[in-house]
Amino acid sequence: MVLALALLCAFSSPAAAQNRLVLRGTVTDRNTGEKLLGATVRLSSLPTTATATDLDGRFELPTVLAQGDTLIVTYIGYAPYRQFLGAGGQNQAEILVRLRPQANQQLGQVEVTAKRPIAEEFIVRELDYLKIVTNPAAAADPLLAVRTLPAASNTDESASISLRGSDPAQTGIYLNNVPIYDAVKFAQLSGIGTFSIFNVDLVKSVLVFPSNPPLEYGNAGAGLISLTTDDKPRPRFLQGSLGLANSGVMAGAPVGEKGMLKVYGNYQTGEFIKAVNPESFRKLSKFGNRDFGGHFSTSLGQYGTLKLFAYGISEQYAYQFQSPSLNDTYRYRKNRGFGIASYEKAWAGADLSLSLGAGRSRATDGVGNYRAARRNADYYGSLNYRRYWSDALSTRVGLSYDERTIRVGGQFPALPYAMSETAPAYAATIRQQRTLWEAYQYTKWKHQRWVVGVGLRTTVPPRQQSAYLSGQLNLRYDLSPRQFLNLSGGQYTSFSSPDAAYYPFLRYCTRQVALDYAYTSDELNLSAAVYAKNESSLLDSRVYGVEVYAQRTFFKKLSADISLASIRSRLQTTNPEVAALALNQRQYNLPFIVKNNLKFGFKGGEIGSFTQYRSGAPYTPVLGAQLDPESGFFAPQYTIEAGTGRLPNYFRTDLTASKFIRSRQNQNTLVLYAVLSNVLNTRNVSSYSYSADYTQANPEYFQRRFLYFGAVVTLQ
Amino acid sequence: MKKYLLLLAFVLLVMPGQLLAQAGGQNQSAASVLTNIQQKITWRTPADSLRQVAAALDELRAKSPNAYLSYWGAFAQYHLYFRATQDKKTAEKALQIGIALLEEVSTKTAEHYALLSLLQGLNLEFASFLTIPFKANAVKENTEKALALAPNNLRAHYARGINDFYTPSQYGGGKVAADHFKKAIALPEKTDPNPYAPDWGKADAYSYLAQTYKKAGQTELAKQYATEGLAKYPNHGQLKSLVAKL
Repeated sequence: MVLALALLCAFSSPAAAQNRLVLRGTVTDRNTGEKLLGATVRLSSLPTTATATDLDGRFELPTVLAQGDTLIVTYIGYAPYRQFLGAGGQNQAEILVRLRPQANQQLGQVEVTAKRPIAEEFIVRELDYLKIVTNPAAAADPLLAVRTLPAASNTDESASISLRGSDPAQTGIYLNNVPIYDAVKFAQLSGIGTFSIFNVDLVKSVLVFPSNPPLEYGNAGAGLISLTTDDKPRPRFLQGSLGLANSGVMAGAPVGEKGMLKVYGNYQTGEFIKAVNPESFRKLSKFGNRDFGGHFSTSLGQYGTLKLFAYGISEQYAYQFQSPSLNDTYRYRKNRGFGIASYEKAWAGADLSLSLGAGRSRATDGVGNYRAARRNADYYGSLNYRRYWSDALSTRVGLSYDERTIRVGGQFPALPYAMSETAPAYAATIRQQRTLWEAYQYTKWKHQRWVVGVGLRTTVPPRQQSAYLSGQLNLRYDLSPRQFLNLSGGQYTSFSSPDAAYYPFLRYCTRQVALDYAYTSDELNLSAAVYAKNESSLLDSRVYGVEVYAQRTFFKKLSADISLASIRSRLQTTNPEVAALALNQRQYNLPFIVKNNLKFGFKGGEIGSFTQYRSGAPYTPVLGAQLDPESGFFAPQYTIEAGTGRLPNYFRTDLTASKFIRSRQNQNTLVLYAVLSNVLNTRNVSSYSYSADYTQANPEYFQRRFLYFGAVVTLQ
Repeated sequence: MKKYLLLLAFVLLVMPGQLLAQAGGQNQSAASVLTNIQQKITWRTPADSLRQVAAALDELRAKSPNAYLSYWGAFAQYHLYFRATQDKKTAEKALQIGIALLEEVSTKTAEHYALLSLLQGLNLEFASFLTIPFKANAVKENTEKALALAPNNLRAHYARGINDFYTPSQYGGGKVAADHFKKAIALPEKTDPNPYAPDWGKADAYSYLAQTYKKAGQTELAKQYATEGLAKYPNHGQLKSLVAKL
C-alpha cells in the first residue's frame, strides 16, 4: 500500500505536466541589450497570473494556452510588449523579448520634471529655503546666500553677484523663468551691504550655473541664477517681523483646494540702525524703503500650475558724496513695480510653459552738476515646449521676446572729473531700446553614465536686429552615484545693462569652457572647478580660475565648510579710445579667495559664522593731476595700464545667532535673531577718494562692525 | 527493508527543492532572495533574518540596480527601523538607507512613493526643528503622488492615512485618515500580478483604522474594526493588543 502511494506521488506530477506548456524566454532592453530583472510576464487570458524575469532576464511561465492567447510583457519605463501565440502554441521556441524604452509615463514625475530646466544635470549648486535661512552670511536673502558660494567672486558687499570673475551685469537672474534685470535694492548705494528684492518666504529653489548657463534661458553670458517660487499650499498663517531697520508683515491663506495666496509688505527706515551703528552710517544720512508683494499659485487641471507674482518698491537714500571736485549730498529716489505670470502644464512625455513679465520704474538722482530722471520699461514673454522622445532623449524648444527701454533726461557733467555745481554740464535726453526675438533648442541625451546636452540659441527674423548664434555643449559623466564630472563649453551672446547716459546696449560675446567636479554625501560634500573664458565687448577680458570646496558635518550639529578660489583676469583692448574705459572698470584679478562657514545647531537654535579673506581688488592708481585751465579743475593722470594697483587684502567675519520658540498649545512660533557683521571691525578698503589736486588719497571703507537684531513671529 | 528504501527514494525525488529552500533560509542566497520576498519580510521576521535579506538584496543591486531590489531593500530597512526603536542611531540609519534606496529609483511607482512617504514620515523624528515643516510637506507630496499614480492601491491609501494620522490637527491633520484606511481595507491586497510586487498593508490598515476611531473617542467603531481585522489576520500583534484593550 505504501509502495503504491509512493509510486503514485512520484510519477503523478510529470504525468499531469505533459498537457501543460512552459513558455521560456529572456527580456532585454532593446537599445542597450541589458537583461531586465522583474519584468511582468503573463498571458492575456490570465490577467491575474504572472511570472517575473530573474536576474538574467529569464522567465518560465507554465501555462495552458487559450485560443488566440497573447504573451504580454510589461516593465515600467518601457513600452508594453505583445506577442500573439496562436492556437495551441506548443511549438513556441525560446522567446526573446526586446523592450523599447519609452518616455516616462509616471505623471507624478512628469509634473515634477516639467518644472525643472532641461539642463538640470549641469546645475552646479542648488539652494533651497533652508540653505538660505540657515546661512550665517545670507541674512535670509537668496542672492546674498549665492554670494557665499565659491563661484561668487564679488569684490564688493552688494547682492549683485559676480560669478567666476565676470561683471555682475553679466549674471543672468531669472524669477520663474522671467529675467529680472535689476534685482537689488539700493542699486547705487555704497557704504552698507545691499539686499536683493526677493523674499525668502516665497522661494522654493535657487539654481546656480556659474559657467555656461543653459541656453533655454535668455541672454545670460557669464553665469545664471534661477529662482523659483513655491507653489505648495500650506495652512493659513500670519507672520510679523520687527528688526532694527525693518518691520514687515506677511499673510498666507489657501485659496480653494489647490491654491495659495501670500501677500507681504515691509517698511524700512534707518533711524534706529544708525543710532546703534553710528560708525557704519557716517556717510549715509538717510535711507528707507517700502515694498509690497503678492504671490498666488494654483493647480489648474491635472498637472498644470499657474503662478502670479506682483511686486512694488519705493526706495530713497542720501549719502555724502566725496570727489576731488565735490563734497555734497547725493540723493536717490526710485519707484518700481513688476509683475510675472507663469503657467506650466505637463503631460506624459511632454510639457509646456509660458512665462510673461512686465515692469516699469522711475528714478531720480543727483549731486553737483549731475541731475537725471530715468524711466525704464521691460517686457518679456517666452513659450517653451519639451518633448521626451524616450527616457534617454529629450528636446526643449522655445521662442522668447525681450524688450527693454530706457529713457534718461537730465544734466550731465561735461568733464568726468568736474562735478561741482558750477562745473560745465550739458543737458540731454536719451532713449535706448533693444528688442530681441530669439529661438532656441536644447537636446539632452542620457546613456548609462553619460549625459550630453547641446543647445543653440539664435535671433529670429524678420525683426530688425543683427543676427547672432549662441551654442553650447555640456558633458556630464557620473563617476559614481555620488560624484560626477561636468565639462561644458560654448559661445554666448548677451547684452550689457547700459548706463544710458553714456553707452547704449552693448553686445557681449563670451566664449568659455569649464570643468566641474562634485561629490555629495550626507556628511561630506566636495567640489572643484577649473575654467577659462574670454568676454568681448568694447573691452576684451580674459579670465582663468580654479576653485575647490569642502563641507563636512560633524555629529549632525556642526557643519563646517571652506572654499579656496583663485582668479586671473586681464582686460585687453587695442583701441586707445576704448582703453580709457578700462581705467574705472571693475576687475576680478584675485589671486586668492578663502571663505569659511561654520554652523552649530542646538535644540531650538543655531549659531554660525562666515569668514572671507581675499586679495584686495585691482584698481587703477592716480599718478598725479593736471590743472585744466578752461574749467579750473584738476584732471587726474592714470597709469598707462588699467588695474595695476591693488587694494589691501579684505577680511571679514560675521557672527549670527538665532533662537526658535514654538508654542505647545497652538504651534505658533517665535524666532529671535542677531547678526554681528565684521566682528573685528576691520577697515576693508573699497576705493580711494582724492583731494582736489589729487595729491592726497584717502581710503573709503566697506561696512564696519555692524549689529542687527530682530524677531519674527508666525501665527498659525 | 525494500519498503523503506523505496520511501527514501521517494523522499529524495520529491523533496530536494524543499530541502534546498530550507538550506537557503539558513544562509540567504542572493540569487533566490526575490523568490517569495514578501513572506521573508513580515512583522514576525527576526532582525537577523531581515539583515540577511537586506544584505542579499544589496549584493544583487550592486551587480544590477533594479527598482524591485531597491523597493524590497527599503522595505527591509522599514522593518529594521521597528526592530531598533531602542537604538536610535540604528533606527535612524535604517530609515536613511531606506530613503536613499527609494530616492535613487528613477522610475518610481505608486509603491515606491507610498513606502518612501512612510520612511520619510518616520524620519521626521530625527529632523531638526527648522526642517520639519518642509520635510513633512515632502512626505505629504509623496503620498499624493502615490495616490495620483494608483488611486486603487491599498498601500497608497494606507500611506496617505498614516500621514494624516500623525499630522497634528493644527497643521490640518486628523481629517482624512479614517477615509483612507477604510478605502485601504476595501481594496485588494495586490493588483499587480508580478510575483515581486508587494501585498502587505491591509492588516496594518485595520489596526490604524481602529486606532483612528479610538483616538476620536469612537470606541465601538474602533472595536468593530479591530475585531474584524483580527479575524482576518489572527497573528497580527497590534490588532491582538488593540482588541484586548478595547
